[in-house]
Amino acid sequence: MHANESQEPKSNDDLQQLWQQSIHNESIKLKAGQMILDIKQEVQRIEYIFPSGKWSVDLVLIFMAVRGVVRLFNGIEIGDTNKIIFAVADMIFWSLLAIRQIIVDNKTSHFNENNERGYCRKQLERIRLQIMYMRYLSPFLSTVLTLALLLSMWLDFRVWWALFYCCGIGVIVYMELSNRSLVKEKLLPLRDKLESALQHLNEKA
Amino acid sequence: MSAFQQPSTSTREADFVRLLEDNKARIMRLCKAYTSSREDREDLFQEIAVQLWKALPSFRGEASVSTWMYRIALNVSLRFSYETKRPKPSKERITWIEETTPHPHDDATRERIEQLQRCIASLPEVERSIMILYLEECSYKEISEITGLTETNVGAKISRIKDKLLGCMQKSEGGV
Repeated sequence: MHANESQEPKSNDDLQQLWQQSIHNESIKLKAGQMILDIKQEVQRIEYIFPSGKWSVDLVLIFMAVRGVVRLFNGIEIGDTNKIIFAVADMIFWSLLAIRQIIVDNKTSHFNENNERGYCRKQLERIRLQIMYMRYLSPFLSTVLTLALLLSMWLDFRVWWALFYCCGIGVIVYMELSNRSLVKEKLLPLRDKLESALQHLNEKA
Repeated sequence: MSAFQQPSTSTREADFVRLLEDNKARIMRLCKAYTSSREDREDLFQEIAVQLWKALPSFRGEASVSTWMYRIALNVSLRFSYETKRPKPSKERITWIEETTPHPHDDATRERIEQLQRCIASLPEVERSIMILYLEECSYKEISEITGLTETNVGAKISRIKDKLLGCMQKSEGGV
């Protein structure tokens, strides 16, 4: 295969032969069906944890934010304090998610993924934005939702509703704690890994 | 391999399985050069497979399949070797690779294979990549495309690394 193969000493051919003898195709068996299933699950898991910005998602989030504004005006018109509280929380929640989604989209869409550097840079940007979201935006949104629930409970206390709201607050706290461990165990190591890979690719270039 | 040039969803799985079936030993040899345990080797194989799967739709046939595959496999291996320097969270074990006993070799050949693997593992990462590509019988042009070095530079580096490797092998043989 080499351009200058004929001039190379025999010891080099021996090395190639020796190397290729170490592992043969016949000594490895792949269970193709299981492999495809595992890989699809792995890719889906990565997409779920680090969603890529998509215009369809932007539109849904903008729609939800606008719905919050409409509900706020509706609540003010009726004079229902509970409705106003939830409409404000709704509006803040979906608006911030929409803004975040648009930022992710704008910051990651211009990378060329056909080369390794572009791919690494895009993934690194996604991970950094995801870390910022999980560290700062997500706790803020959770606080807004929790305050809305507490305020609503305080204004109109009913035992069953209070129990229901407490469960909601429990879920929010659980999700925030899960996010913290996700950042620590998955996102930060992945960010370091991508930074090292990018540094290596830059040195090579 | 021309089927890889225009992958469609219906043939993607078949293309992918064929690619891995044809190249599993090559990938596994590469994995062995970058890892020290069987578990790590299988994890690395899995990671390379995932990246190849993800990259398959964007493969446009601008390079040969083997060049494209080695480029991805080497980058994943280098990333993996950086990652294994820090403690890893526990991961589910994979179940779709079965390594059986390699072809029966006599003791002397087995010993030489182990020496070669040890000597390759002792090379710095970039030199190791170049040497593995050389041992896999990639042409200088292919090695140059994969590593981004010029062909002349590849030739010079290979000659130097080969001397180093042969020296290491002789030293090991002398030590045995």
